[in-house]
This record gives sequence, C-alpha cells and structure tokens, in this order.
Amino acid sequence: MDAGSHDGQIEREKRMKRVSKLALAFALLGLALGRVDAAPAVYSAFVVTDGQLGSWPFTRAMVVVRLKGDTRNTMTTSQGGSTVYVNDVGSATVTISQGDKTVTAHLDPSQIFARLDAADGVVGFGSTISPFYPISMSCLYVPTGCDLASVVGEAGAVFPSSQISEAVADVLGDPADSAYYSAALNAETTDDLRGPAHLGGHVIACINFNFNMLFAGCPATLPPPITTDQGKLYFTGQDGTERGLFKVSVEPDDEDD
Amino acid sequence: MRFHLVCAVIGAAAWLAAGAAGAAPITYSIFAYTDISLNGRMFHDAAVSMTFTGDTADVQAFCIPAANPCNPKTYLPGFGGAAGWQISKGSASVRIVSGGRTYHANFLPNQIIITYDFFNGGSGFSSIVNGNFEPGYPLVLDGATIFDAPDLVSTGNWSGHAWSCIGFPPAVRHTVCSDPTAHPLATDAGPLVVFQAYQQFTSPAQTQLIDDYGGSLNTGFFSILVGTAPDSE
Repeated sequence: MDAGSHDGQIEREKRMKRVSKLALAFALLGLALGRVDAAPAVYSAFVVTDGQLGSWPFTRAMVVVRLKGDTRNTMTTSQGGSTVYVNDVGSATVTISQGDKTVTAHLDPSQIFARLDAADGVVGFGSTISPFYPISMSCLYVPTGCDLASVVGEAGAVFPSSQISEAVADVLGDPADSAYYSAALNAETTDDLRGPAHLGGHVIACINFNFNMLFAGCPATLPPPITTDQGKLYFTGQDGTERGLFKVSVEPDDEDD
Repeated sequence: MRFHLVCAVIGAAAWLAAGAAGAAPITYSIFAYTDISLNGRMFHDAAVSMTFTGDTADVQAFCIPAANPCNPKTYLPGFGGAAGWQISKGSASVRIVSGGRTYHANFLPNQIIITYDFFNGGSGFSSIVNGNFEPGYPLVLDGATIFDAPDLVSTGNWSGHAWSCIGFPPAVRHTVCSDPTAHPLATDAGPLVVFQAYQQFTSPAQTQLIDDYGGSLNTGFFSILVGTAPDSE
C-alpha cells in the first residue's frame, strides 16, 4: 500500500465516520421527533351502512368504527406509487345502532388498521381482507380514489369537489386551489394520521363493491368475517350516494359519538 | 334524482298544515363535527349532537307555494318552491363533546323546527332566529342519502352535506352564508352559535359558495326514531 492509497483509506474512514455520525444524528432526531409526535389518538369512521353482527342483520344502521391507538405507531408507506399512512396498533370497537337497538362489539386484536391515502382522497379502515375493507371513504366511487389529473384544478369548475377527501386531494395536487376552500378545510390538508383530522367521502363498505352499478347493492357473497366478542362481523353496504366521516382525535374524546 | 335548488326564501308563515300522522313518540337526532360556541366558549371541530323529541301527530305537511290539498310526495312547486313536512312542537337539546368533556344545553322554546324538504332533498334542525325562518340553521343536511328519505315519520338513518347556514340557500343568491354570531340561539346554558367550517367557493375571492349542496363539504347524519327512545346518556 503506497502513501497515497493509505491517505485515501484514512479519508474514506473519516467520511464513513462522518456519515455514521450523521446517520446517528438523524436517527436520534427521528426518535426525538417520534417522541414529540407520540400521542394517544382515536381514529373513528362514521357511516350509515348494512351488514351483520353475529345473528343480527342490520340495514341502514348508524355504524361507528373506532381504533384507539397512538400516533407514534403511524407508518408511512408507499402503495401503488402513493404515500399511504397506516396505523395498525390499538384496540378496535364497532358500535351499531338501528332503531332502538345499539350494540357495541370489541374486535379481536390485529384485524383492522387506519389508512389514509390523502393524495388519492381515500381514508378509512383496512384489514387483512382488503386495504379498503371494512370501511373506506373515497373522493370518488372507486377504492383507488381520485384520478389526480382530473381532481387538480377542479375547484370552482363545473364539477367541483363534493367531499372533504376530494378537496384535500385537490389541494395536495395543486396548492393554489386551497384558495377555493375555507380555512378550516385547509387546516386538515397536512394530515398524515399523526394529528387531528376531519375527512370524509363516498362510503365503500362492501368487499365486492359494484362500481359499474352503484345502486345495485353489495353482492350477496360475504367476505371473510371480522371477529368480535359479539360474533362475526360483516359489512355489505353499497349505496352510491352514501357519505361518511373519518375523524382523528388526538385528544381522545371517549364520548365522541 | 332531483336537482332542484333548495327554496330560497321559506317564510315561517308559509308553512301549511295539511296532514298529520298517527300519534307516537318520535325522536329526531342530527350529528356532525363542527365549530360551535356555547355561552361565549368556542369549541373547534367538536362532536355536536342535537336531539328533538315530539309526537308524530304534530308532524305537518307544507307546500310552497301553497297547495290544497298539499301532498309533498306528488306536489311539484317548481324553482324556488318547496314541499315536505315539519314539526315544531317538542323539546330540543344540544350535546357538545370536546377535549374529553361533554356540555349539554336545552334550547329555549319556539326556536327549533324539524324540517324535511322532500322536493329539494334536505332535512334537519331549522329554526326561527330573530324572527326569521332559517331552513339551514343551526344544523341540517342535504344531498347524499337524506335526499331520498321517505318522510319525517319513518325510523331510519341518513347522511348528507352538513349545513349551519344563516341565509340558506346562499348559492342561488350568488353569495355566502351570513355571520351566525349575530344570530345566537337561546339555550338554558347561554347563547349558542354554530359555524359552517368546511366550505367550497366559486372563486378565490370566496364571495359565493359553489352550490347549495357541495358548498358545504362537511358530512353529517340525521336519524329518526319512532317510539320511545332509549336513554342516550
């Protein structure tokens, strides 16, 4: 080894150490940010839909699905070219009200996760059955959400946004469009399941949602069940005009309903 | 699907009693997350539930312009008209959940009117404020599935665009909702003001809502329960 290569080796080692220190610094920063971001959170979906819980078939019931977790468990993933935020750690419940009957069931662990694809305007709860089931809310009638090319710049157009999730996707695609929306809505556009959020869209609560016949009803074939302490849970809701609400409460409101 | 604009000016005096259902207890509920103030205390994006209890015998049909007989399911009032049902006799309350705390208030009498404009597809908690009938205030829904609700005496749940709009419908007048702070509702816990937080405008000037359905991007839920309601507390 000549002197030049030795000096080069030392330089590389110095660089490696600097890179390692930098990486460590970023890692510590990340941990620190993680701690800052950590907060108890409740992810809630509110929809009117159909389904069955145990032996009880419900029709056009008011359904609230909740996942109580912590924002520190929110993961940033890439799915189909989109940035998707997922939080799959927590305890989940479903409360179903139809007429004078209300039942709350606790879901068995590790079945559902909160999911937000803000750029495509899709939010809700996914599961091992499907990333869009049991409940998704889409800016359009498709589970993959908006065609961004059609959403961007639609504010003020002939066919404007009609869902919060659609407006959020619009603004993410074209920040200038935020001028078409009220300040409160724009405050929600930075959401990534790590902070308070108020979203909503067309309800998809059917594993085989018929996108060609929006009002035909969910096909009769049941999906695999979600298991709860009140029996097996299925959702079979398809109404092309139903709208839902997805809320992230970082200061948990146990009484929110 | 009906695409008529919600009636521009519905005077309270124009409500026409033209029929009543059989007597049974009935509970109307509406729910949304929105901005609201109670007795001067502001709550941002609070869980707001309003409840009205009455009797189906007091539900009355209305047709605007007036018609005799008035059958909202067959009446076609034309642009600017309305037809549906309403009930004003009963008691109304509001429940606000924010920051893990719950606040209750009872509306003082003769303010809240439950309405369902079958022709235009909107229903919820309307009111008499400062002597004016406000069809879109304090909290009503339109569009979505409330558009196709059958009447005001059938048990069910529906979703829709949530409005808290003084001067509804604003878009047909090429404007926006008026400031609600000048129009508080009276409750036993102090003045109540409900705001419309999530709106879409025709231009960055924000002087006109995009329309009288999608102008409000917020979602709410309206429920009717015929019979004795279970204790919700």
